[in-house]
Amino acid sequence: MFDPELSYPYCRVGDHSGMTTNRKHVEHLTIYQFNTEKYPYLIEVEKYPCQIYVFKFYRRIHKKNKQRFNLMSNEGKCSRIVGTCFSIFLTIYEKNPLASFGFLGAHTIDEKKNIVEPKNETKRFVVYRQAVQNYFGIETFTHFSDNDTSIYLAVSNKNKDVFDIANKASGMINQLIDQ
Amino acid sequence: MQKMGKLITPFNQKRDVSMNVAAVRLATKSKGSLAKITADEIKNRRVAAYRYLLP
Repeated sequence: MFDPELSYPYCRVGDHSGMTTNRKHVEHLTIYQFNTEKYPYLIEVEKYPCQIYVFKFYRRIHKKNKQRFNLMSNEGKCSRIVGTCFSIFLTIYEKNPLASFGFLGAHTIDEKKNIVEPKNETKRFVVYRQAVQNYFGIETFTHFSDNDTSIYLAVSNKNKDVFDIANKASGMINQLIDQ
Repeated sequence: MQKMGKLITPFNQKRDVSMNVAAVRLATKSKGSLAKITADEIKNRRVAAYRYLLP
């Protein structure tokens, strides 16, 4: 269902160092673009310290919208889009076996329907968590999650101390939440 | 398929999701701390039909 074989063809459209992104803790930002049958999408891959790669995607038309991660496209292509993220991560992991995979399941905001989803265990988080656990096993990764903030981190077991990486990631999350 | 259908159900009736944005921000201002998910938990939750991309 989330197979990378079914992923959309993608291309890299942006490459920024941490300095130019102006995002806290981000060492590098790479932006990829792909087109579904209906819409173009962008995937932002943020590289954090400890080789943590965080994936974010949204419709290109919402690029300048502050709530771009919270909006629903209602296109019904979630599985292939997530498969595209997996495909990108696999290429990163091939080059860098210390790479860890992270995501935040953003809460849905639908102002027209006056609906705001709570931030804990969002539906995106539940779906992405299921996808990661179906495809990334426990031999290659140690899995961590924070259900209160809907953040998931799969740390590569090739790292010497996976718990140290999880602790450092927690520290970064706290700083980012406080902002 | 039924299981996946449940997962992507837009809004669970048990949760009060019709709160305004400010109320949600106040309610979820918690500290992030990542907890390890045990291998058993992953095995129990994993859908057996899927193959591992990375074991």
